[in-house]
Amino acid sequence: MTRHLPLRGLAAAAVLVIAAGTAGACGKSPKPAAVAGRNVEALNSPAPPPELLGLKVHLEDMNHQVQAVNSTYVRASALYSLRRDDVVQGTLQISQFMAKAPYNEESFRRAFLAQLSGTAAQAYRLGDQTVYQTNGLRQHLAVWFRGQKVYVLSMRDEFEHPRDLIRAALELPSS
Amino acid sequence: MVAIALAGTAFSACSENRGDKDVVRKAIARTRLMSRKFVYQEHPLVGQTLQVAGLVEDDFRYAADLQLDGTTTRQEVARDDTFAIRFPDGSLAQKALDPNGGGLVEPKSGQLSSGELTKAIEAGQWAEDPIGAPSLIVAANDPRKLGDDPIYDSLTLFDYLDKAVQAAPLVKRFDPDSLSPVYRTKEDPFPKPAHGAPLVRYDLAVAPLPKAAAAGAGSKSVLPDVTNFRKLVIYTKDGLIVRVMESVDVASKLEDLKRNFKITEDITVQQAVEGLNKVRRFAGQDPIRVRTMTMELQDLGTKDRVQLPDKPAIGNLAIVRYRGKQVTATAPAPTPPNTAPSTPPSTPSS
Repeated sequence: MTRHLPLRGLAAAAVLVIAAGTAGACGKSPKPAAVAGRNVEALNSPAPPPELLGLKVHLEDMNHQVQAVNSTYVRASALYSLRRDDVVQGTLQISQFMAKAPYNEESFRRAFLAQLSGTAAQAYRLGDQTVYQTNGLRQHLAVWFRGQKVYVLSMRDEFEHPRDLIRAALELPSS
Repeated sequence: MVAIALAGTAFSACSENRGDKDVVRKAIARTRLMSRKFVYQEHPLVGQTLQVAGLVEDDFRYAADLQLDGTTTRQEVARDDTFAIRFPDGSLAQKALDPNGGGLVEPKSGQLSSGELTKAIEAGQWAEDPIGAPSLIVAANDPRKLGDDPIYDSLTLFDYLDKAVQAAPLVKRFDPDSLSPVYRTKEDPFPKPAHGAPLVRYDLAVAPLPKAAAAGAGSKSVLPDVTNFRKLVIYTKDGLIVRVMESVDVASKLEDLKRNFKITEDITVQQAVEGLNKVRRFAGQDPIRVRTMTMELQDLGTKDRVQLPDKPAIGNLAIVRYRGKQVTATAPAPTPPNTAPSTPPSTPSS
């Protein structure tokens, strides 16, 4: 039986991505489309398979962290841990923006990315998808936007197959 | 009439004439998103003529063959984290190997030791590292200079072009009827698109040579740089780059160099370049690589896919200079951390 211990780092990462939508609003007063964190729903689809590149995928509860967010453009979200031998190697957060959020605008996306890391995101083309990569503290982050959804994949910086994992995550069905 | 002339002068004095810089930069941005085949050729002033022929599937996947003086000396394939390399003439591998690059880490199960992998490479076999793909991000502190790693140069050409466009005093679309072309007709070494042809050529202007007296002694700005010697043209078709041609030419500027910097009369081009680069290195600046370069881009949007070689020798390719992933032996933590990587700083609060 697999045991899952508390995920301190993951919890904070979840808040981060949820709150980023507020920054994209570019103002001190919330935009009409933004909602309080308590209104963010669980995102059930798409759901990754039980294993991704040999890592065990486990849905994490981030309800507590989401509740603390005052305002966000995210309508629904799900956070998955990616583990090897019960040690977290990374996380995948899939979020769906609200329909009224300007999620297709480059400025909104850049603002979102800017909230994830202090360093500028580098854009890559992988297949037909643009993927933004940036570094956090001892971790790599890969972000891509697909329709109304955004995917945030974080990986330990010592994880040996970051590109393979991004590629595997990109191949996940989007609905 | 006088008023108009004065107004024109004032305008040009206080605004940069960007010409077609933005058009070309957009073409660079568009083209780099395309899968493509390419042939990159370089004829340096000193050294062997080289050619890199390759396929770029996307930013994590490429295959490239390097030829020196017409002989294939190195082949590479990168597919996500996996990197494979072969030196068809294994005796030429030595120059590219760094015996200490693999560190003292024990090979993983199923992998060859550094010594065994070196032998396989020297025997002309394909060698593969499941985590050895190099980064193609151009870093300011990268120790490689132009020409040190031709495959890397060819794969990062768009970064090079973008910098060149930004550094050029002017970028202008070639017009055969122009009375003020970027390059004088007799000094223009590049093919000219025919009237009405779908091919469009953009020319990067050469910056005037500085004069030794133009700045105080020791100032970086007084040193000539590549923009003072570089003629570069970019050919586009339907808004995508299809060819790049560059000539970094000191010979035609030698008399100006002698005059501006009071250099001895009997100096040769090679001596002038060596002397200039010595000063540039001393000042912490990159040397100027005198060369002609051509890059042909073909099959933009190709569906061809990068394939890894069959039955390679598997090991840590950090033994190849500038490739592989440096692995350091560290004692395992007594209890592995059970948290995710720590959070990036500055969570915004609403």
